[in-house]
Amino acid sequence: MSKEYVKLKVKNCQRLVDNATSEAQKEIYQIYLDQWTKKLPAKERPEAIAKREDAKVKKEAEAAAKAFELKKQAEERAKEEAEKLKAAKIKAEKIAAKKAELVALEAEEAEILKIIEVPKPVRSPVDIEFEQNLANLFEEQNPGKKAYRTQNGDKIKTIAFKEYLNPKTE
Amino acid sequence: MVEASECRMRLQEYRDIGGGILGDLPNHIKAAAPQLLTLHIVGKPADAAGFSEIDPPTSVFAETVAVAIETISSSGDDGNEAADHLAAISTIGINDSNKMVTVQNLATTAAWTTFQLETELWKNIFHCFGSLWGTGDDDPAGDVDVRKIDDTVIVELGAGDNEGNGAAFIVPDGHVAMLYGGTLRRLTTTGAWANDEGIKIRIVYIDALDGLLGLAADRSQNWIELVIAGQYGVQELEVPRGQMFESGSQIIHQHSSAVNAGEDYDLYLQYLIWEK
Repeated sequence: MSKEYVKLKVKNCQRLVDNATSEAQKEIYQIYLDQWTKKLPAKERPEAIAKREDAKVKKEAEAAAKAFELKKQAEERAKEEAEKLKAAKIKAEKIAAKKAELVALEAEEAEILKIIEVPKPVRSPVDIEFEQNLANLFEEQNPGKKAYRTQNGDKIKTIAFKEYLNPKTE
Repeated sequence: MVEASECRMRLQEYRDIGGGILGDLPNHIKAAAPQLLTLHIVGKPADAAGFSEIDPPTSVFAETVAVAIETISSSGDDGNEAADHLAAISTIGINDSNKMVTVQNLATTAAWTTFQLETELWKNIFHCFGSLWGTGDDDPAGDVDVRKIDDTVIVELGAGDNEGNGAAFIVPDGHVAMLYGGTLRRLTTTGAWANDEGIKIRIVYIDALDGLLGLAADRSQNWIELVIAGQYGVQELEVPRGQMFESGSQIIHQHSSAVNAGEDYDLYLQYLIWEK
């Protein structure tokens, strides 16, 4: 009796068990199945094959789960990197914008300063001598009073001298 | 002298019964559409004066739940190719519906050496015979077996033989059977034998109740005995009609030589079977 013959018997008996129309019939077919299964070498019996298949499927499932996990981690890392790059880019853009704004403000300020800066009028030597003569005259006419005083290193007219130069009209 | 016997068992449905056989049946039996089981036996009992079963099956197949069976040939020349020999083997038995039926099991491959699982479910199988042939020959090329799933042969055809073994049967559950006559003919030449020599036939019937109990003291193995003996006188007798058998009864046929000398006989029996 060849191994292939016994395998065919086992396969047929299993089909009969699976398609039995009643429990009593299934019991009888199961007896036949057990008889024929016993004639197979132990490692070729359906339960041994099923056990090996289960182990193989389990191993493959674990490998697939691990691969999926690694893939997920890689995707998350890539996502984080992308977000970091994006944030850095936005920051750089903001900085550049601010810098541009500052440059514009500085230019604007420079323009404004150019407008504000009024050159000091330059007095002629004649005017300076004339005013000095008047200052001497004031001090002669008002002993004890000065025509000029010094403030922050600058020579400025006193109030009395200003009034002497521009008397108030009633 | 070697014992020999060959039984030809056939089952006819009511619509196929002809020849006036139902002429004197009561109407209520006709209304039940009885089946006709015929056994035509040619035998030669062994020299010993004991009784032995006529053409027994290879093994008894009796299940409380109907199950599938297999068929197989020992020769690749039996199968469904046009040039093959045997292409179908018919089985007579009791199916899943508790009815006695004849089912033709067709070969589904060119070489019947690979066993074939049959679709019909059986509780009992009593007999088999060849029923379809290719152009190769008119009888099986190999031994064709009808067997259980565990490879136990139930009934079989020998190579070259279209009639299988098995001459016993069981009355299906929910049915009754009636011995409806037949003929026993001693084939030995009249006048050639002593007065005490002859043939004996027993139609043994075991009621289901007795069979179930299984104890020798409780079993009632009854039988109808038919004897043709003597040198002169009628060498043929008509089997009586009317013996009834209850649901589940086993009917087994036995033969014996009356004296230690082989005798040839021809036995034809008819049973009507109908649902109660």
